[in-house]
Amino acid sequence: MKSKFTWILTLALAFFIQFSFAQEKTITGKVVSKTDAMAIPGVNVLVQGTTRGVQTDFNGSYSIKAATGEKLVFSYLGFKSQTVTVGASTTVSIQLEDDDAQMLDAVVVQGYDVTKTRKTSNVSSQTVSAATIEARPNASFIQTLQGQVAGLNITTGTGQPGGNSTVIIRGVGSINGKVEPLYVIDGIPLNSDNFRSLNPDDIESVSVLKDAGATAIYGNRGANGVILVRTKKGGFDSGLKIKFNSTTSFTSLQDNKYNMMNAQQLLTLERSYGQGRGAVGGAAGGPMTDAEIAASPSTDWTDYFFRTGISQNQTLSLSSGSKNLSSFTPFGFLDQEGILKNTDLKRFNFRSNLSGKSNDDRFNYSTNVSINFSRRNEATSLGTGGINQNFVLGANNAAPYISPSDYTDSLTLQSDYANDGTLLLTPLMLIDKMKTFSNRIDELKALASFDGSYKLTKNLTFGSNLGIDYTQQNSQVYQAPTAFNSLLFLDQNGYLGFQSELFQQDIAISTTTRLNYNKTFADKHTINVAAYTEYFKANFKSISYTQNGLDGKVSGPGYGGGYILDNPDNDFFVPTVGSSKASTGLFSYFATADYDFDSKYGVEATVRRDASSRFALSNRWGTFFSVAGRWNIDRESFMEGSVFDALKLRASYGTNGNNDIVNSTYGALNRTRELYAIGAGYQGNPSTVIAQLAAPELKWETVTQANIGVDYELFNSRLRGTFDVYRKRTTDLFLDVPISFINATSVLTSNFGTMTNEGVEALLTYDILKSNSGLNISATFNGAFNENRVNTVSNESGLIDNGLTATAEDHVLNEFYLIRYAGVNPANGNLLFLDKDGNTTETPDTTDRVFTGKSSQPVWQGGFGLNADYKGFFLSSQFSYVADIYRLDYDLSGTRDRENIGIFNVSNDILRAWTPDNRITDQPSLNATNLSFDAESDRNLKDASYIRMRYVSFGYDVPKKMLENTFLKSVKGFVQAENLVTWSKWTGWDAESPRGNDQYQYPTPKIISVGLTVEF
Amino acid sequence: MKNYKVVLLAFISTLIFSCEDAIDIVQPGELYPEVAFQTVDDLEKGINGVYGVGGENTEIAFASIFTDEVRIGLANGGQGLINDAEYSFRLNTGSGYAVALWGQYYSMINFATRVIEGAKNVVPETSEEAQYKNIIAQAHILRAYAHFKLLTYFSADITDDNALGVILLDFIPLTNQSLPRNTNAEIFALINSDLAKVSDLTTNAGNADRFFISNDFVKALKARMALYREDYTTAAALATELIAQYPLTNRAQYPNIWRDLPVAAPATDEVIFKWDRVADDEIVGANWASVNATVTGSPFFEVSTDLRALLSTVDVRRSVIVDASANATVFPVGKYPGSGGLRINDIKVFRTSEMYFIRAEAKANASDFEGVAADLQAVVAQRFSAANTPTIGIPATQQAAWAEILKQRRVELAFEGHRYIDLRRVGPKAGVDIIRDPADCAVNGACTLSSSDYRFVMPIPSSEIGANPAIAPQQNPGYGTIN
Repeated sequence: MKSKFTWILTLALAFFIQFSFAQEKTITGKVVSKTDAMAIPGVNVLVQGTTRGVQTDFNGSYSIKAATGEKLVFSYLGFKSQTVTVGASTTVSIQLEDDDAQMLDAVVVQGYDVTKTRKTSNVSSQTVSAATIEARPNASFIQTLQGQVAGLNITTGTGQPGGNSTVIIRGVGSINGKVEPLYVIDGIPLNSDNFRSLNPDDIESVSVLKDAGATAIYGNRGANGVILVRTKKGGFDSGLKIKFNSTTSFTSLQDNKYNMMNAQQLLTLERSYGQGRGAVGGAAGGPMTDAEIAASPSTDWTDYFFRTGISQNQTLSLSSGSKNLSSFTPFGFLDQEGILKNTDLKRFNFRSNLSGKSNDDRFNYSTNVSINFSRRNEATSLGTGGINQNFVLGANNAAPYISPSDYTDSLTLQSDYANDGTLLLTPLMLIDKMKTFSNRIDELKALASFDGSYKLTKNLTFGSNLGIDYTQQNSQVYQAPTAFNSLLFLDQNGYLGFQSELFQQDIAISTTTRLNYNKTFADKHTINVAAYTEYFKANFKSISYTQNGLDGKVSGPGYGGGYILDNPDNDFFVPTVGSSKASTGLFSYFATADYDFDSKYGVEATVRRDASSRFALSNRWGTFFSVAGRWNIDRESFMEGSVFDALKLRASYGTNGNNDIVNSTYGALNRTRELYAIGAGYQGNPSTVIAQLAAPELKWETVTQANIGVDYELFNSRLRGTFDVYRKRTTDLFLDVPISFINATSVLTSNFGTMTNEGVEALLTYDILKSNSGLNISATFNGAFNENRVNTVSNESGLIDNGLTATAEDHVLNEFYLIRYAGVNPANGNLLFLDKDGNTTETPDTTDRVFTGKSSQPVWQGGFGLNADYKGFFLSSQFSYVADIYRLDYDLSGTRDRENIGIFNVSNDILRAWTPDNRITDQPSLNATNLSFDAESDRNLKDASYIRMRYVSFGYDVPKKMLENTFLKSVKGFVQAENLVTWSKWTGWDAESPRGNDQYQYPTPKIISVGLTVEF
Repeated sequence: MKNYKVVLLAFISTLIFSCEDAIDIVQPGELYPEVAFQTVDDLEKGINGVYGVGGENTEIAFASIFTDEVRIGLANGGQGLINDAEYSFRLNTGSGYAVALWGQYYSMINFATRVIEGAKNVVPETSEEAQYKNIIAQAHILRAYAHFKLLTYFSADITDDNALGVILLDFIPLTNQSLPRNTNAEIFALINSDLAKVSDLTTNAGNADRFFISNDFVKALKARMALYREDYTTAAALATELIAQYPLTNRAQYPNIWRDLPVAAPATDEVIFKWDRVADDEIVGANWASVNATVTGSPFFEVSTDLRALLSTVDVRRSVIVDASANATVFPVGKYPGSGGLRINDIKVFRTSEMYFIRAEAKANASDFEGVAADLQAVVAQRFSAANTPTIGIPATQQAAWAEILKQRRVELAFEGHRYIDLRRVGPKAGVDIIRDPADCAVNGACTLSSSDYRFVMPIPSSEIGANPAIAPQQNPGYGTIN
């Protein structure tokens, strides 16, 4: 909150989080940063994942009425200010597939259902098959993909079951706009990137399209790569197959290395520091004696707020096929407990995939319908300093000499708090919240697609595809009138308890119509030419209300009992209502041509014209293209007898467009027009003020990518892999260009600047041992190097200052921009810093910040693994790593903060604090006078590189022979673990996070599971 | 066979939606500039928006924490010490307060100008003419007020007409416009011409409603402006007029002002103007405490030790400044205790006591020390019971007079956003600096700050500098540039 740019341009990097009471209720009113009590001018707020874009606040401290509704759910996430770039970075690991034996014969899925073999593919893409995704204990298949695909960064920053992951292909490609790939499931382009409601077991394959040759066919939404998901289908002329998967998982917290104190250690410290119970809790208000300290109970609050979560996951699938019809019908059920109490996800899935054809095979059709319902309880206020709201804060920082048995009920707590007055009773307030607060979200997600094609002639096919993506979220937040938090804020609010409910509906419809011509001449020349039109329209609707004031005897989560009605004395009880609506659309036509000569040479080209509803008439249409080619060198005569079984050289070049000005389907829909808004003005009366300045010249952000790659297999295909080099350049970046505050705002969305991502990706599998009946061992490795550089930015100084990070020419996007920390001054125990000229100082200034060369996007990442099997036993493992990545560890600084002594727990590290007798140390004096510079320095900037045992599985696949005379087709049992061990310098709970800084966040768990798969 | 060809084609034809349907989309509720202001009622909404930007919350918060009105409170969770660290005297081009003030008042100016410009296209009915003129007058006056606020915080020397002021804005700017700072003289010329519109005020000319612009608002503004510019004659004359019109509220009624209750005798309501605050508006008290203004309200700042030392227990202002719930160790800020069952308080901008102080300063400048004492005494007399009223001694020197005025302002105007400006204006003349009680500054070692320090003028925010090349070389002294 240094300036509004902190909100607008960074990856939402906040400063140190301050503790305060926070009130959980619909945020209405002004945008004031509660944490530092600062008004922030000019913020546009958007509720997370929605477009309920209360696109409000133009002038800063006024007129933001954030839409009511629980999904604000704290959403600090919810603070998706329209212009916040979520472009965080991340890590990915990769592990090669172990199930397709001969890579170049493997199937490659490309856009619009074009299927090729590895041999004839011209593009850079990678497919992950069902075997890798099935039966993993992750609610979302995206989490499982981590470590599977070269160049794909997947970072999960929350342990919330079904929590979202950040996915970046080949580096962050946009500053303000959308940075995550387009997802296409069975031909349906999705609006959302959250897959908590989908059953991973339904997935047949996931293909990641990386270079322009592959993505150009999705030119209007494919700028950040495309992930194609195909679900399973039944086969024609096949009998009934039944498959049952069952997995039971146990999730638990990963450890940290903060070295926190127990009650005895903390009380002893408090006694010597002269603050807190240790100093005044003894007889007659004096220091506690050793005996008193020894007698104190000691609570590990981490154990209290976190738990070992137990999860069940079952999928039953039926597939069968007759001559003209095949079907695949799975049912799934998942019940996953989060490691944080009061968090969970339950899910029910149903799917029906049908394929049919006419007798003469000329007419083919398929329908894929899935209906998914999930219900989850989410923790709120994560990552905030809300001591009465954030359970993780309680778990990390609560004083251990407070005991859960100190809590009896809300009223007693209120009077205990009144007697104490400090924040010491934080854990008890959180216990109270666990009992009196709920935040539940139901999601209904339906995906339906129809695809039909008819062969007009032998070579000419006409086809059409219709897809619908329907997502509905109903959420409810309830705080009991008897809750401590209700009682506490009674004076401020005038009412007790509240309930809000939010209904959101998101419907996206896409249709594609195609004409395809395919012919092979003289056995060696194959051409494939196609023309398409595509229509896409998405509609959003939400309704919400908040009722303030409930009757304790009859109210409860989710229904309208006990609403206290408005009365003549005041307006507290008037419910707040909200409603919003938005739509957006795209229209395109495009053509592709593909030529193959004898599987030896191939070229293909795509050209398309795209229009977006986001841009003004004059700039509405964009043209994107790609060309790609290959040379199958192994088919040349001179290669005969070489060690190469396959060798293919590929190259591609092309462009893609991005029309998502901000990272949201429904964000920034009309930026080209100057708009006024009617809102609540003085005395709550309606006001008309300017709300948005026009950016009439807005146009497509364009990504141009060049890629050269090699696919190879050697030594009887025992060694195989790919190697790619790329350069991806984004031009006409969507950027909030600073403008003078005289405009009543300080930024204007524009197309400005360029940014480059250059990198190398390698993928390697080697079969160390290969035998038909005995032991097989194979090793896989992949690695990716990506260098991000901002080439030009908008303002005079060439630097966009985000407070803790800055974006500047020739630097990494959002590079940490901090004062250099130089250790503890042996003379007085103060912190020492370097000013910008490199001289030591105890009082640096903002102007002493320098570029650190470090960012929260990894430069290196990848994975490796070892797979072995022996007579039905199998062992597979995956490790993932990221390197050259840095993040601010504010949990660490918080646990070493002297201000917390007497209120919160601290680390034993604080015992190393400077004293006249201990002058050479890394911890400043407890009386240091310049700690205020800490937050702006790189003292807390830590290396977040890690190597993690992402996955290990051991099991037994009963040999087919043994099942021959039973009704069973296959039986497999296994034990597996996720995130079991991590090697990292990072001291916190979890080295993995998409955020540039972390404090009080919900860490991802480690998971141990056992499972069984039976087919019959 | 033929049949399903037909069926198929019919089906497919339904799939081909029209192109326009997907790409010609207007979101519901888009309000375009040409229709925003068409009637006098629209203008009324416009002026509501201008008022909506008002409110001294930022000034109040900053002055109290940066100077010597608060100390770290019982429930401090880092407020004031980290991030902006204003309690540690940190103020730089990235400080949120500078951005907030700069942004807030330029928004007010911009909105007001849009109302003024929008009004040019509105032809009022005869019956609406007074209202129409009234709206335009308010827009001008609020624009003047905002310009003056900006000068107050961002001009390095408001008394020097040739010194750099702020950017003058009396038109709707273009987004690519890069404007330098004007001189103070140029800004004051605009302020004066805007204030001249006061003659068009009709609906609230007599200030029956203290929540809106009135003749007396303008008078009070001019008085303060003249004082800041050291035009003491004008200041004293205007102050005298207002003192006559708005007698001080007496000791018994004084607490009502802060609880936003009516004063028993309305004629003695000394509040000349205040910003009305209703539910969902910003909570001033939240600058110092999370929950409420009592000892159990999680105060992260409390009344500073040395301010408390100036408050006699029989001074009614003590019971206002320090919340009544205070005990021997916890002293919550009590001036904004909430009203009407909500934690909401109006923000007082002009009060009669300030007018006394303005006149006292004029007298101090003229070395009329008896007059100084008399004006200060007049205020004190309404804050103590007759028996307990202390006598303000007649200052022996001009410096002593300034010091006494500064002290009286500190007590009377505490937590109203004056202290920062007062220290800058009067501190050097009075020989007064920020000197915190040692116990209050043990936490961070930030104990003293000279009142002539460069940080008593706000920096032009780096975000403005980055956007506006014309202003880039015009940063205020002492603040480095970032690059």
